[in-house]
Amino acid sequence: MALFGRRKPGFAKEVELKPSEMPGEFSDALDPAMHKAEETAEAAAQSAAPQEGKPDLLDFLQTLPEVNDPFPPSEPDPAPAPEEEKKPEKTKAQLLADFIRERSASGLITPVALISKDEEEIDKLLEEMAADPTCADIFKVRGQKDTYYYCEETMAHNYAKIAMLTTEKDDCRTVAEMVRFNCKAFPTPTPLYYFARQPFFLDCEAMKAVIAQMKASEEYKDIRECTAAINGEPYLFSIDLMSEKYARALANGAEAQEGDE
Amino acid sequence: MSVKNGINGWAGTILRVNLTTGSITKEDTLPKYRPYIGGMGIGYKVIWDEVPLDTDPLGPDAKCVFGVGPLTASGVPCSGRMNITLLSCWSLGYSIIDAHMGGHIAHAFKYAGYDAMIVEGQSDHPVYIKIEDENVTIEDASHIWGKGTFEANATLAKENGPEFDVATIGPAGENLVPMSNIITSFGNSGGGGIGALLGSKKCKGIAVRGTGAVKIARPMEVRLLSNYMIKDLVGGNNNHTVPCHAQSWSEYVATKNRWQGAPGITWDKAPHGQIDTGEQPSGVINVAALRCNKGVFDFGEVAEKYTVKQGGCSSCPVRCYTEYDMDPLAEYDLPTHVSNTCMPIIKMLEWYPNHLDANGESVPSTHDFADEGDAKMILGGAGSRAADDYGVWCNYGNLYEDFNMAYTSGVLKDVIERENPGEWEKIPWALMESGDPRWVVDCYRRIAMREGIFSDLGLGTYRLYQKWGMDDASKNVAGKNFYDFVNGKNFNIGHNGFPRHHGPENCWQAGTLYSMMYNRDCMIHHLINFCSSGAPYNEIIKPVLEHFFGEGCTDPQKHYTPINENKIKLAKWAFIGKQWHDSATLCNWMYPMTIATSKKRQYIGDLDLDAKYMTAVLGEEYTREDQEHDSERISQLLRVMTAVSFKLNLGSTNLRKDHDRVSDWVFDKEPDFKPFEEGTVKLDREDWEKSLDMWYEAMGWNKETGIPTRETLEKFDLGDCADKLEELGLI
Amino acid sequence: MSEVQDRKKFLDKDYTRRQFLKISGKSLAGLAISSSLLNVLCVSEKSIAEDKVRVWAFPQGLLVVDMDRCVGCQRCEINCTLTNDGCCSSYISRVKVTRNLYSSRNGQGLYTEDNWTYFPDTCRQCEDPACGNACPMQAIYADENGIRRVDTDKCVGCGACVQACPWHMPTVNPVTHKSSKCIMCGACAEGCPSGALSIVPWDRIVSASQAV
Repeated sequence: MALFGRRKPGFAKEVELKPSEMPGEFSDALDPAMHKAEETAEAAAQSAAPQEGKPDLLDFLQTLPEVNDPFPPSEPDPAPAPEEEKKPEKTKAQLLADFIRERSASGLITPVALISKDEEEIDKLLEEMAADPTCADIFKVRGQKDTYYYCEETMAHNYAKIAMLTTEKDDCRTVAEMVRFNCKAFPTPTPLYYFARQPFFLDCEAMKAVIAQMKASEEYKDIRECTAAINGEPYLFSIDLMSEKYARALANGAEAQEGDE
Repeated sequence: MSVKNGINGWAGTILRVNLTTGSITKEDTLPKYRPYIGGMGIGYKVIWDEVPLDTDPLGPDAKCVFGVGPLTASGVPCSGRMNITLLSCWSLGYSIIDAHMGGHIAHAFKYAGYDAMIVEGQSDHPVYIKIEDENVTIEDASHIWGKGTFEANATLAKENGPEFDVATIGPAGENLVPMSNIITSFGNSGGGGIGALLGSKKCKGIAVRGTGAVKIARPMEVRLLSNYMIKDLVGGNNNHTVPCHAQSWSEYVATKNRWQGAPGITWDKAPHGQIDTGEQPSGVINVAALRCNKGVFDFGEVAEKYTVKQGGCSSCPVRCYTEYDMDPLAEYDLPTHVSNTCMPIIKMLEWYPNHLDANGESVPSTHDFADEGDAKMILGGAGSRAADDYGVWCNYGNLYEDFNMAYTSGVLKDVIERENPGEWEKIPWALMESGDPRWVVDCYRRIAMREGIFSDLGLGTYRLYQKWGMDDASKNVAGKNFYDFVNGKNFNIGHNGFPRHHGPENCWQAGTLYSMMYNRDCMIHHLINFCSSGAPYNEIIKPVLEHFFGEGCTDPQKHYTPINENKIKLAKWAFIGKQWHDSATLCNWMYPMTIATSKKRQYIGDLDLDAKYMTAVLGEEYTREDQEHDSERISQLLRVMTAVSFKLNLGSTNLRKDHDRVSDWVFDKEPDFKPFEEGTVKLDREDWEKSLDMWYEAMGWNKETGIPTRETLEKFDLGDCADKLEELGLI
Repeated sequence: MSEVQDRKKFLDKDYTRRQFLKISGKSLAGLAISSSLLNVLCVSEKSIAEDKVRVWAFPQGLLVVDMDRCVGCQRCEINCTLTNDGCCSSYISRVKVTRNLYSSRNGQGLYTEDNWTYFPDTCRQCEDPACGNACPMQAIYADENGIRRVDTDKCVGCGACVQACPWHMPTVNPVTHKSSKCIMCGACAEGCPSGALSIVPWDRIVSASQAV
């Protein structure tokens, strides 16, 4: 499923699949969050059938009288079928890499579970791919439930990590990892509304549940709450990476939009 | 026009319009103004040569200089900027300042064949200046005098023809209100009191059409550099280089910044179907305009509902003016088409402070309109349109901050009741208390029409505080010095009458230093752009900046460190860089290209880009050193003129003491913190004095007085400036 | 089935281009367009239905003009003149947006009631060009690539082409006194930051035509 509204010439091969056609666990990841994205993005362009009574453009064109094409013949396709036959056949590992690349260009990471369905010797295949220099652009990110592959050319490493977290639907882990990352890299505490945005789609209720769960867990005891004094906006930070005083000051600065005019 | 003249970059001609005699003459830009580049540089040189600095800023001998530069309309992205130089009628010292106007008029002016226009004298009846290539005339403006800028602009555009761009002052300028501007396009304005100056000349505005061209030595190189800039370097508004919603190509996601475009962020009122902004990867030109979505940054996703498209200035791919159709305003008989990108649209809640209800309880004055949390937006729409229509300038928000503080502290009521009994009751407070958009419209009307003591707000902070005793704790009922006291917002940066504009609140000593260098708010975005870019400080900002300026040149947000040489280097680069932007001309909000969007470049920008553009346009080598030398020349001239103004108008011989004094709150705020502790932006007084010492040394100024030395001035061929300073006993 | 055969013909890029040539510059209102084509053109059904989208068959792809996306940056004019005239100008640009930006002859633009309606005008690449027909010097000709150009050796700058063109697209350069018109170089679309002008390559049109 393509990222809606995404414009990246040459990368996206547009194939329309219904959610029910998507394999296994991945289709779960699509509902309901991705459906929300479907609704908002280019709604008008998603109509499945021509409007009643209107002739289809392509059919209509073919009924019009022929015209002279004054322009020179088009360039032949860069990779025509006859030429491909001359190249050595791709290995299974290389074909797998192509599959990963296609999905990556559409914003999708590829879980091992998906590709191992019909492949008995998946470990061997993955090793082969890792050793193949033509597949050097293929990277992986390990989650709790699976390992996921993506292409570095079309997907950022951090985005792959976020995609992994949201795919595994472990909301606590997702929130904690992002909060810790933001504390370390920026540094900044993270407002709760950060997680309402795509690709997280965790609304107020969901975040309340996440925070309650994290509080009850040893694994997430470093994740704390603070509030921006100016407007009460709630933030999260990791006490291991940032002091509460600093977190509060940064949260307040962000919400006061100091310097943001 | 320049193609005819055969000059690369410059148009080649400076126009001089005398509104007293009606004479219109032309002079060559080069070689005289070559060392001053264009825009601000030309303006400062003209004022220095022709206008004594104790001239009444609104008198018959005052002049203003509209100016553009060799990069304006030369194909360079973000070059749609016009500079207007004038003397300040509202800030301490009444010294030299600039207004800056975006929109499309800078390009029209350059295509018409001009680098600058000097407006002098005073007309005895309302006029406007019409420029159509080489034909320049002074036309009657009686039929539009008294009209708001929207009607005046529409009338001039209709009368003159489809290819004319126009700019007019509003009633505020006509009534000589210091807080006044000139308006062009939709929501683009030149401030600084230019409205009053033109009003004093009875000049309603200008209409410009240019069929000419700007000659470019290496046009394909300009195109290639532009493509490279848009693909690999530039981000969204304020050059924020990391998107605020996860995009699959981007390593980072900002928590809050000006790159709001993303799949699911939409222009809902695009006339023929919602437009989704989608992803805008680095390396792709055709999506750059979909990045900013300023409305969403300003107001949240509720802004999508009223967004028609995004506008802005000539040649800029960023489009930071969200163009709205705000239906709720129709219920109040207010125009629904509104657009602005800055203070006039984002700060309107300041006109609606909490009020006391019947029980004496402090209660909010605002309410939601159609959607939860949309008050800021709807009131913003009403306020910005009214401000622009009346031609009122806000002094980067000080206008409404001063109102808010005066109202909240009781000073407003006290002064009005004392000075003009009966006025307070006639002010429609019920509109404010009920969050009605017509309140803010009425406020601007009062100010523009100089109605009552309330309209003293239009004097600007410096003169307002003097009149209302707000600059002296013993002279107002609040018992505060409004320049210095610590409050939640702390806008005034010094005692000069203008606010901070990315000074100590975000940019440590560096921002504070250059904030003090002007006679209005500094508008320098060199530092704030990367601070707020959304890029992570530890992984990108610090390494990239230290790559350019050395270790320790930057501080993370809210964790400053003591001053050092590299911070001074950074501050100087930003300070002289602003003069460069206003002379070249380039947008002060977008340049320089410090951090890149491109991961392949390791996010390192290109600080030589401006010089590369100059080389391609001029066809002769122009290096970054040349750029910095020319920019510093103009910066030294600014400082000289400030010193002369302060001597002539205030009897001051010491800028360090009398001009560069920073408000106390900068050192006293956040009492729970010590300076340089994590979590605070407060500075240390001793460290500040040391910063000034180091700064003056870097700029070649006397340590005690902060005034340029002869030795420094001679380096920039400003010996005549040194002579003047000597004559006045300043050096 | 003949319908399947006919669609398969669209696999050929030249065939596809010949079909689209038939409607270059013409209204698409009243036609239904598949979602994949709408997607690849970045336009909405409504914009097609309300005649706010025009397409032109260029050698390299389909030029799509979507009014709603124009943000008034004038970079189309800048790129056109940098590329074709060696200078930077609005007046002599072969794509024209400035004349719609402020207060156009249609009463649209920033200084009118219809503030937010502004968009670029492009040359219609007429099969029977009024500009060429009106030229007393026969200076407008089709080159070996089929693109109609002005022969500046023949042009005397009389402006007949400007007057004859129903949309006044050619301009006589006030400095060279020669007419100039769009030669389909694509610089305007390549540099358009909002996709208001875009040239969709023929192979993408071909792919989109295959999807059901």
